[in-house]
Amino acid sequence: MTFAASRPAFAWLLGLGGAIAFFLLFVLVLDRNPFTVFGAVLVGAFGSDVGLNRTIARAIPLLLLSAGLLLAFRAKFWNIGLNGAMYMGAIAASGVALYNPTAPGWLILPLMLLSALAVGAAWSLIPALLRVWFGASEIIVSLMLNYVAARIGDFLVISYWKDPNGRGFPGTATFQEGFWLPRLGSSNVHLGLLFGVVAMVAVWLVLSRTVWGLRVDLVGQGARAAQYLGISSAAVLLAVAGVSGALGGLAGAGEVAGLNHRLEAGVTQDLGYTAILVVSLGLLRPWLTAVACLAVAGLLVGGTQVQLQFGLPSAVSGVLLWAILYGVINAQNLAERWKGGAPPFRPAAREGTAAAVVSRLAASSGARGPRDGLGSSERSG
Amino acid sequence: MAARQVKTSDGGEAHRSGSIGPSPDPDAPSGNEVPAVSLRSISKRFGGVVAVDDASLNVAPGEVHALLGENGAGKTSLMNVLAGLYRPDRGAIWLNGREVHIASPEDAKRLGIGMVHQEQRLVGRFTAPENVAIGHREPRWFTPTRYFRRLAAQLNARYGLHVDAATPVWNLPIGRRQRVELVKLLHHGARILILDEPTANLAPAEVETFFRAIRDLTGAGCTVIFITHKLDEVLRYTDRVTVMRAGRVVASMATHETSREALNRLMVGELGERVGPATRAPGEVILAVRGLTLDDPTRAVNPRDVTFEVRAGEVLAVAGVAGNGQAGLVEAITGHIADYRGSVVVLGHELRELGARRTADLGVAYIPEDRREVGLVGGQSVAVNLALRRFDRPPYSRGGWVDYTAIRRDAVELIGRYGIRPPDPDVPVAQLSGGNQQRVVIARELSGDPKLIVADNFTRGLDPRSTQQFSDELFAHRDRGAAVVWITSDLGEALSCDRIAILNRGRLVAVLDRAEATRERVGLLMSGDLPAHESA
Repeated sequence: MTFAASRPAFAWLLGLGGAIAFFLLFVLVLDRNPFTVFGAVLVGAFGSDVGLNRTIARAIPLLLLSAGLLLAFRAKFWNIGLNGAMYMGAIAASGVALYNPTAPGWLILPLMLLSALAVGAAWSLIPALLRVWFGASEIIVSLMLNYVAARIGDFLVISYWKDPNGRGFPGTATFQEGFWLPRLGSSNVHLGLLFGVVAMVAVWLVLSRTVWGLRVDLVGQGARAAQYLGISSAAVLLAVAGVSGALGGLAGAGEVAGLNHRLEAGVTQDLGYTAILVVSLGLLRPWLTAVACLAVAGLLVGGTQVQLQFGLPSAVSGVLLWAILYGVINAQNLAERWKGGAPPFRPAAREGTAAAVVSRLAASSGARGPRDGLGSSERSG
Repeated sequence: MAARQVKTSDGGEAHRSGSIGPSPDPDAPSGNEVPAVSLRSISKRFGGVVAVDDASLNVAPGEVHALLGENGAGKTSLMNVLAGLYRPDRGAIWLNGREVHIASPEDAKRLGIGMVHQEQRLVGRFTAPENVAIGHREPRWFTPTRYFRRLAAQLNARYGLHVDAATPVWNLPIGRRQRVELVKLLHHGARILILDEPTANLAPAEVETFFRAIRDLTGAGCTVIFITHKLDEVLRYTDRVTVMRAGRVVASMATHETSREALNRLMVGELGERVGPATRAPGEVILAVRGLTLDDPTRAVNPRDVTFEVRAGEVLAVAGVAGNGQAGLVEAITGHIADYRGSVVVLGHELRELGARRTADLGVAYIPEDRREVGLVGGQSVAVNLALRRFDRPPYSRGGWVDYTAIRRDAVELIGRYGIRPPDPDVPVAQLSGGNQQRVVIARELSGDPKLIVADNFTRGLDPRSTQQFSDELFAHRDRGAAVVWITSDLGEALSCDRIAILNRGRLVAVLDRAEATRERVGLLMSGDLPAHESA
């Protein structure tokens, strides 16, 4: 594959460059030296042990989420609901911990993780089943379920599960130490990193080497061709939805069991959405996506550095982050347009991703038919 | 007659917009009339497929001009060029003696060109006057009911629209909706009207009314180009006819100077060399279809009580104009649908219980009409596309792991055997030309020596050489002992087969032996102009 010469790669670089240029300009308008600020973001993220440690800790949920998202998006199952799955995973793990406060850790910790996997999977299966049964747009359903999950979490941490000694802050009590995921030395990097790396490597292996992975790509790239070959799209969609939801749930469990050791409102920090940015930057390829995880985690962490050092709000790094997404999406759309009036033939797996999600969002008001014809299209002229 | 100016409703807007060349027309046909529309040597390709090939067309002002041809002859593509939807690769467009450049539908609109497409492009929830007003001098801020009532009254007075200003158009009968589209174009200033198969959905009585309305328009100074494949309507309602075949204009003449038979022959072309008939007597029955009936509400026409048999060693053509139930028939005999009535039996197995995959495993090869979307997965390599049927079983995979080395090795062999270019198993199949893409499909489907081959319009959009090569391949499989069903809209292809079943409005109206099938008879049966009982 001649990556360097390919059109998506060019669009990608163009979008990234444009976003960074926009960011530098933005900082200039704020009357700071853009290069110093940009440098500070990088140094804050990767320049010190503390920064690197926080960056890696932040990359852990992103790895899990984007591994799942990668799989779903390759099958063109536009699961926007990983934030919800992550939330539900965190809730499930916390529930296991809170209701068994005295049980041994070797029993409860695995149970926490397993319940998070199961609940996350179930959460993502809702939009998948509705799509398979009724042709409902998974984008709308999964997006809406994110809010449902967040409200359930909010509700629990201010009511039944609220820490009685929490001085009114919304959140549960801290779990007992036996339920914490082991950490690397004194850092924030917990065992979730292993899960994330394993998940990403597994997704890579599955997609590039297995029959099932090829089916995922066939359903994603040629839904009608898959139907023609007798491949059950429904089975593939349900499977990728379940796996992506499970990984989202695991990401949530990692946050509560590995990092915070309690459930608090807003535990996902919207990383379920950030993961969409990550896989878009990674062009739906596992290795690139893994790199994108680290880079995006770095930007998130580096942003706080900007706040400390320059008195700028940490949202400044968010501006850079989402400018990158915007730039990459639009550059991809532009590249599509440049291709001109050629027959409607889409390039491979890397097509669109976030761009496709956004345009699907725009188009999803039109109902999907229960089945698409396979034989001759009835046309003439 | 002096050059008729293209007038828009704003009064000559055409002269300030669009780029109209200053030079007079050097190539104007001799005679005293400057054509309202003159297309000169227009060519348009899509990827490797030539849609329009060096086509020229002159339409006199005020005439009803038929553009006649089979499906895929390039009629709609040529007219899409005039309407600004496609940019031609080559060629020029002249209107009323001046060269114009039409880069977009807006340009075409400014020049007074309007097209009614096959699929209607009205907003269903809007009323007729609302639909007419969209995109042209609509009220800027508010859209008061009063405005539309007034507009409706104006339209009624001017064009005899006769519709209620309050009825959403989806409540109107289809003929009425078509009138709304026409009025919309006229209101937008169109004086050259292109109608793409406007009678396709009309009842016979509506057709009559429709053409009376068209006559009124030409009387009022409009020029009408009318795309069709129906000979009857051409002969009855048009002044001139231009015939297209395989992207080319093959003839143009005054309608009263020609005949049904002559037009039919021009439309379908002369036969190439006929392949020899089957040398051996047909063998056992491979495919038996009995009383096949579908009720798919998403299709305009479904197969109705279709019964036929195909034996080993024969090619049965299912001939018909596209959209006469072929799609459902193909899905049924390849095991893709189960909700049919009647029976479809392949080698003793009822397909209803099998599904697509196990049907294929019986030895049923299926070459779909839409090779890009159905037959191939464009982003995947040629090698993977060649292995699509078998990638999930040995020797291509074991224990769930794909052996890409084995897939690639066999692909190299097939690429050589079928002459696929470029000879690279790793290139994405989307980058191949149309002919080579079809080679990939054929190599995959036919390399396993199937017992039944279902080929659905598989030569569409291919050059003559590939067409010849692929049909030869099909007949070679017949001589090997395969049963072949060839769904085709092309009369020449149908006539080269051993038997010809003619499909019209979902029914098999006749099954003819090669010896009793003449070009005229099959052509007329296909168009529904010859009732089935006359052919019996």
